[in-house]
Amino acid sequence: MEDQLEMKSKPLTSTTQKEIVTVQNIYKSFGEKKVLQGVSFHLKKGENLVVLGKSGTGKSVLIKCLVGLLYPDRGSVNVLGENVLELDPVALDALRLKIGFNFQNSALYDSMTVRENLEFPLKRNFREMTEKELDKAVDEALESVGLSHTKDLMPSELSGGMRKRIGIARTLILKPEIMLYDEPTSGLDPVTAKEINELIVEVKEKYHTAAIVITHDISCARTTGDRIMALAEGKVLEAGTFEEISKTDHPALKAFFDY
Amino acid sequence: MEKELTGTTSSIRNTIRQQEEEERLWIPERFHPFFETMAKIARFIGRFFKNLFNPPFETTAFLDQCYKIGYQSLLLIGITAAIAGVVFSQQSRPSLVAFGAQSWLPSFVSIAVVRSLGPLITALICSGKVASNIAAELSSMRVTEQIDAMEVSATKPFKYLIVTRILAATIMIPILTIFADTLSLMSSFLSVNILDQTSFNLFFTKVFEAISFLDIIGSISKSVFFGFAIGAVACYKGYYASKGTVGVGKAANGAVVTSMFLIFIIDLLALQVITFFR
Ligand SMILES: Nc1ncnc2c1ncn2[C@@H]1O[C@H](COP(=O)(O)OP(=O)(O)OP(=O)(O)O)[C@@H](O)[C@H]1O
Ligand SMILES: [Mg+2]
Repeated sequence: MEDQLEMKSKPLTSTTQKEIVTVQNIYKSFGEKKVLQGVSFHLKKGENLVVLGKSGTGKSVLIKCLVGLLYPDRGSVNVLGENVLELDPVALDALRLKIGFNFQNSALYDSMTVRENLEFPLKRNFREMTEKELDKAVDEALESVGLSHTKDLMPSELSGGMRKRIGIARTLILKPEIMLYDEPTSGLDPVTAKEINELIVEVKEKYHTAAIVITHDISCARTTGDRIMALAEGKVLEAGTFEEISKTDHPALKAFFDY
Repeated sequence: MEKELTGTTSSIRNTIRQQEEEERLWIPERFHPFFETMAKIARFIGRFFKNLFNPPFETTAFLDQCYKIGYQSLLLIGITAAIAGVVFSQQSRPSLVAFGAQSWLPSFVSIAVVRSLGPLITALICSGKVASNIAAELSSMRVTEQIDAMEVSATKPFKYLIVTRILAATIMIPILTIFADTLSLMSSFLSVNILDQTSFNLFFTKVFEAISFLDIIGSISKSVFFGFAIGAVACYKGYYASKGTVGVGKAANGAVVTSMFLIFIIDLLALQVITFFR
């Protein structure tokens, strides 16, 4: 199974590109419930990988394993040359700074204004920054997501789409090398979803990030993904470009393209 | 190379797991969850002290918590303490009068308030107001993944959220206790004054004659422990809340019940210690 995968993905990527995320054969269960059952994949520099899968297949669990929010029961996780499972807290924090994790529900700090939300990680990681520099960084990040006017609003005053954008701005402000998007378009209307998809592509071009985009939305997968990996029942079903995946005859995967 | 590493990691894990299992053998199975919880609590408290003395410090967030826990409880604590002072003096007065000992009332009230009523009322009110508030706030942050979001942006949420709150509770609750003691005694004086016409001076001379330095120190140190218990229980329940909105309710409820229970246990223990020194 693993070898098969390797075969499939090899021709797609040139060997000159560096693998910045390598996940090998990870397993994760919660009590009796088996969630991930031997997932392997990799992400190359500058690449957007879409993880496609039904609700409950463990997509969120998978990316939480990349940043040490969850630890797999077995397997290995290597991110930016570090073995995530063996890092001490200090090294883990250093690695986390290079990863922008966007949560499924945005996870904005609802007791803080938008500006404080963005300043929060900066103030704690770059203590020497002056008020002016902070302001500049906040403005820049807000501008990249097109929401400069929301600076003094509370998260509760924002719409769902705006919350997603602010969430993205909050991770961009740390200038990450890898972006992780957990269902960036779920719960949004098609128009707003399209805007978010465009934003993801823009971020990739402007900040030169690699990204893993989790979704169950086909149009999101098509616009944002260079490569697509389909997950079902804790295993990788298929991996390849959008065209390759859309020709699949796997019933679980086909259902995504049929509706 | 990668494969090799994975191999060693999992073999190390397995050995650790085996060792853990061997160590556990002599404890009956059904007590395991209890000991696991105890270990988790011990680690939580250990982590608090480790983070407490390690810079950088979250000073602004700490002062903010002091304001919330201390200042915003003043009114409630003040009113309840004043009422308790009035009720206690008016209820004990008839019995004292029956023995012709109403001049003892100030001493009587003073001992009751400083030794027991003041600290207890403050702590109980705070576990209703402060502990439930902290637990609900932290657990809803946990449920909506805000704590995870802090974690992955390397901002050390334990320092920002937990250390500040436990420390603020530990410091503010003794201060609130002193405030409650003062108000109880004042209100008691006023209620006595209406019936008996004592002077302010006489009343408070008697109040201070009745209590010793040990009473005051004991009462304040007891409150320090009350405050720590309230802060730690509330933070623990909130920080480890289970997922879903049910988790928020459970955390808030658990925080109040557990901290109230602990307050009485601490009160009992403190009494033994103070009696030993007396
Ligand atoms: N902390 C946890 N404790 C127990 N079970 C969990 C935990 N996190 C996830 N699970 C379980 O793992 C399974 C996969 O969850 P996950 O959130 O990864 O799904 P998902 O693929 O992201 O789905 P969705 O599209 O709905 O977000 C679910 O059945 C969930 O109940
Ligand atoms: Mg998910």
